[in-house]
Amino acid sequence: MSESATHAAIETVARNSYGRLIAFLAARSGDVAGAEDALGDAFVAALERWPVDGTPQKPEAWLLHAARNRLIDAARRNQIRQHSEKFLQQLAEEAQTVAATHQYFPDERLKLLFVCAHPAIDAAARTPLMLQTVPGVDAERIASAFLVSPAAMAQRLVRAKNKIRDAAIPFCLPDPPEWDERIFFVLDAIYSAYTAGWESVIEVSSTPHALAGDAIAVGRTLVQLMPAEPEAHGLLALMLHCEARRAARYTRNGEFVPLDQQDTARWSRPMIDEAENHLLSAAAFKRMGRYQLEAAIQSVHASRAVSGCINWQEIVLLYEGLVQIAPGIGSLVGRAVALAQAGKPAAGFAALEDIPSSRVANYQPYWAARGHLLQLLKQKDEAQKAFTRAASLTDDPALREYLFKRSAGRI
Amino acid sequence: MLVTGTSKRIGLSIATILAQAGARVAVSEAKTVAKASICHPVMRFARARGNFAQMSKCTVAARHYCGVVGILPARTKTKRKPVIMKYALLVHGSQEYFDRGKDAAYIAAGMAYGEALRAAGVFVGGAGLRSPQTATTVSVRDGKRHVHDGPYAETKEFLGGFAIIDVPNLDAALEWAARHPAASESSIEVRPLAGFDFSGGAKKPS
Repeated sequence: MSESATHAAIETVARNSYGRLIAFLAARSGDVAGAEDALGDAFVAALERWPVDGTPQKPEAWLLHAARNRLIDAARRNQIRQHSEKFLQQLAEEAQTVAATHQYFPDERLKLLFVCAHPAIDAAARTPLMLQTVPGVDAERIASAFLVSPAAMAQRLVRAKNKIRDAAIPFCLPDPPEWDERIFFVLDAIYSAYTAGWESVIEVSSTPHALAGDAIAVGRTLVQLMPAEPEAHGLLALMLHCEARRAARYTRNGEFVPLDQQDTARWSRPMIDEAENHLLSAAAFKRMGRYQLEAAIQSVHASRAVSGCINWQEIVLLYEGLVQIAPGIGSLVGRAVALAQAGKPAAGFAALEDIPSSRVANYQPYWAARGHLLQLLKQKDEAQKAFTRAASLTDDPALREYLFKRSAGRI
Repeated sequence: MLVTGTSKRIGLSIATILAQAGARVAVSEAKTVAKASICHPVMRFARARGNFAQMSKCTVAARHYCGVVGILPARTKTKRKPVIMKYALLVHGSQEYFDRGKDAAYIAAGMAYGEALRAAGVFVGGAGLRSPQTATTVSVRDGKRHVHDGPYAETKEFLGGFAIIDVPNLDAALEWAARHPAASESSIEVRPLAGFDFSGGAKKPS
């Protein structure tokens, strides 16, 4: 086999199985960094051997076997072979079982997701750790999306992996009493990855944009691993609805376009359809949750592509539900705007005024919403001040320009 | 225009994995320091093996069940489970918290908690501490002994007590920490013990 064909074969295995291989090794050793080292070495060995020996029939089993050999080498170097023999023996037996019987090996990625999003891990490390281990996103790309230096991100990841190993965070699924709390952390970590990839993006090829794709990939994996969790479907639907509109967020000249004025022809119909299917699957479980409600709100917006109008009354109802279970500042502002759009600008403004001022000082959407509502209430001067403040709080140049235009009353 | 989204993304490449390995080399210095100070490889593998053998959830659940309902699990002295992980539960409390030390309900809750730990077979040791006003701090510098009144730090929270427990993993330790009667008004710091203790010397692989 030619070298390039072998490389292609290795890349295919890496793309399809990297997260599963890491999860399999780490779930048995409790050591994510050790699993990464061993698997990295196994891939290096594959690059050497496969062009000579041919691509093995079961590449994953070959890699697991090689990773296990690396662990033995490491143990020998550290003269601790006798202590680790039992663990390595077990690993070898399992690798053999995988090779002999199953076409594929046990999928431990869900356990790995729960470990990465464990509340005992530094909150700032959960999403990066999840992105690095499950879809195998390059650490530098993660660092640039989270606006920290690669060295700082690497440190953060090393610390988190050390904590997993040294504090013995278990690779197991939480029991029912903790399930809801723990699943929240998993969903939150995935959504954080998506929002990191969402903000301040214009060019499609940019790094943060790619991260949004990675987040959706993890969301798909989660749905596949937990098909009976409605919130997993809800989160995926939410991300897909947002992603479907990416091209419509800016005009071809790079100008910002607010959601209710976007050209629906530029929305991705396949993504909207996929989102709607997941929302329907979620609804079948009759267990409401934060992400399902947020996805449902986006679904109402998406229906404008068919109906040509937005049912704000329906959005108000959904926000009422959302602020009950997740009274975050985003949902409070969203509810106020929906009230105003549904024909009750005074009620909407009162809802905005009810939000404690300490929470909104630096929250750009609040000031944009305030400007919009004041404009509806014909309070021009106050509206101008709010839009100016909003403009000063965003890092997206196109959005800043849009907000200044609204401030000047040009739109 | 169709947004190609994920399909536009080039998936994980072998180059990425190798780059990741490379990135690890770049931080190897930090890692080496961390490894040397925190975790000797012997510990790492002993623990790894232990985790694997002990991770059975039903074992953990059964132990907890016994603890809650107060059944002493059938354990023979000769077949003691290998030591896997020990954690210190450190109670940090305010002055008000210490002032409740003579409260009967408070004492009873502490006793019941200790009993539950013993019944579950996870108790290694522990005690409540008297108030920080009773503390004396000692240090030796250049062979000279320095003694002064009170704890060092000028903090609002003090170490109020501790328990050492022997459980398979962090989740089990966190569960016990949450059950601590002080958890509802103070906070419990959960710290894994390093691989040796004063009583037993270096931890022996079982």
